[in-house]
Amino acid sequence: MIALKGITKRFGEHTVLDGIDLSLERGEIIVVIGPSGTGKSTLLRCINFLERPDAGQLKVGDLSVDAARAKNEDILGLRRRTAFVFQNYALFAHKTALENIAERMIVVEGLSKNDAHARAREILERIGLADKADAYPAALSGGQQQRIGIGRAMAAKAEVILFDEPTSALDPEWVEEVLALMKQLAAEQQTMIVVTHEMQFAREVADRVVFMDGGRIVEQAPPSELFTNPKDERTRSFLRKVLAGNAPAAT
Amino acid sequence: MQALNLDYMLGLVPILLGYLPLTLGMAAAGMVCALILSCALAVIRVSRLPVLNQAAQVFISFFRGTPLLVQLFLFYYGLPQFLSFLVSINGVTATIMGLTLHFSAYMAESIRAAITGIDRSQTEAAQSIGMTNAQTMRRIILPQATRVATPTLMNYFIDMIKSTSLAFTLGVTELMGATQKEAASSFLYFEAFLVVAVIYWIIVEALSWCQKRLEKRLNRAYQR
Amino acid sequence: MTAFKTLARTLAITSLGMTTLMGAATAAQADTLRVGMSGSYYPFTFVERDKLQGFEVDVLNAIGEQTGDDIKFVTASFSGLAGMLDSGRVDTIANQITITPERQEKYAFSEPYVYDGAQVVVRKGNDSIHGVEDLKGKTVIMNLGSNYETLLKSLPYADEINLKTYESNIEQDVALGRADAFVMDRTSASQVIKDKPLPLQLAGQPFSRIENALPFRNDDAGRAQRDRVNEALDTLRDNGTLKEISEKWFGNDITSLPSAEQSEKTGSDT
Repeated sequence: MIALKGITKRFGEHTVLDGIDLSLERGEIIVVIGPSGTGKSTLLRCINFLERPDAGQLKVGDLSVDAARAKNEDILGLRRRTAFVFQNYALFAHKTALENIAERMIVVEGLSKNDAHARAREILERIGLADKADAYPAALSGGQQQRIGIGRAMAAKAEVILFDEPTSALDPEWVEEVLALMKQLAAEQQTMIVVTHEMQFAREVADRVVFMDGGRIVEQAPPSELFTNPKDERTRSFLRKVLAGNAPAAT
Repeated sequence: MQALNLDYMLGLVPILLGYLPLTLGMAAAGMVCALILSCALAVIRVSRLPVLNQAAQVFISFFRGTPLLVQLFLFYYGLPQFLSFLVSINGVTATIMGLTLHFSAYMAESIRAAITGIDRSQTEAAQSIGMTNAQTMRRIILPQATRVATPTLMNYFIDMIKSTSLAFTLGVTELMGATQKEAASSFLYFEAFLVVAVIYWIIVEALSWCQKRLEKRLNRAYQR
Repeated sequence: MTAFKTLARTLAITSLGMTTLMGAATAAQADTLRVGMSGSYYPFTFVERDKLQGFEVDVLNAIGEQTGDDIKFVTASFSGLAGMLDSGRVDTIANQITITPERQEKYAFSEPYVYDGAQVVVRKGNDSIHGVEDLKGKTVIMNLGSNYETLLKSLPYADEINLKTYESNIEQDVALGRADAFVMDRTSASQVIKDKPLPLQLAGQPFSRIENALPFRNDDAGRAQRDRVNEALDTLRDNGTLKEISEKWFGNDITSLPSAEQSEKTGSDT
């Protein structure tokens, strides 16, 4: 349902993504892990052309795009089939929680303001922030802002939601509520690709864990397999490092 | 020294107030046109549209780099010697056009600065939900830039009100021109200009009050 | 979107209004004489209580009565007047315009209707300046675009005079002591000193004869207007109207060529 083939991205001389192949089925949940600066975020950003890949093919739902020859309508098409959750939430600062969620329905889907707001209210109910409908982002906690950010992504009814380190910018006290919402989405069989350092989340929720290093996918496997029996030395070394600081999870 | 001629001053007030609608009208018309033009210029500059961007740069450079009075003279007296149809433009229209061109050059740079000052993540968020560039600009960037630019733009508006006094050189008797003529015949300079100063001051104070309310409204979204 | 619609409508209305104005302007031009003046030059042209009046206003209205033209006065700051004439926005300027050789090259002048002299004016009590010969090393101011600047610059010691031109309010600056003297025609200078509460005095005698007339654009239409105005001026001079208007504003006749002894006095500028 989503298929990436040979996705390549260079920043000047530096090759950030070196021919990534990845595919996932509807309802599948993939967690991408790996050392910092290894191209995980860039991969997500390439899928909806926040970064333009230099080469490769992308297929999302019924739309296939050759990255090197993507036209504006292809890019818009990809963006309308995907949704993105940002590390720093990136809520529209001048719009209320409700308007943030409704914006896409009004502008992209052409819904009337009333219909869009009604649907946005349903989403607010689902993410447990119905009472914050009229609050502006500046008045919300980090955790609440990120839940609105996820709500905005849910409103897109996209083929896939791309999570770019959704909890990295949060104070520790807010991490749990955001992860809980993501688990709720996972339970509803929402297709998603999550870049995160939350190994516990990966273990519990992922159908498949992808380990990236140096702009390539080193290995991918169900979490039970990848965490207990990693095949590649780089994977083992990375897991040792991250799990050392996380003793209970290592048992 | 002689005492202030209060009777003269009081008598002058209703006369000068009669010219206030013209002064404010020219400034308001100039501001509306300048806002539209400067937004267009700013968007052209920010999106670096080829050719248009260079043209906008030259436009801004010229109208910022030369005094308004020079521009008015060039436009009103100079050009008609070559393009005779321009004679039919009257002084009020020419003043409004002059104010528009001159101030839009300044305002375009303020608006551009406000636009580029908006966090990049706002654009990315808009793009990520599938908005086109135009939709992003109109619904996400410009409304936020407006808030940033409003205090500066209000200052330009105040400046514009005061600049309407140059209209007298184009034969339009507005507030300042009327004062000058009254003062030149009575020779009561201090009285006449004191009256007009107070009138300008009151207008600007009233505007500042509106500005505060407007800014409060625009800042509503940003209060914790 | 609404904003754009409103704008479009406004523009449509504005352009409609402009077309109407333009139509009116061209239609009216045939029998309307548009006269530019500063409205800030007492007592020739000035505004008091919002009413434009003065010597020039009366003279031009009298001319209009003779020619049958509607006289339309347009006031603008002095520095804008020449531009208005050049760009065809007015037909002539009535602001005590002095005939000079340079101006004669450019404009078609009517015959003179004011004869006067250039006068140095100083602050009351200033006894160091008795005429144009005492201006060396002094700051002397005059109105921007006036011909007195040319006049002073042609003096042999012009380099030693600190000349400044103002847009307006020269009387005030001399009264305040910011400048040592200003130069103006004798008639209006005397009038200012007599009527207005400024501490000023005449310094000596006038130093150059000046003749004022109405400049027209030097083209067929301009010259035709000029000729009609000349005819009217002749009539007004013959039937005593000019003299009457002059006496009303100045208490004496400044509209006829000075007699022999007067020209001797004013001719002392050599």
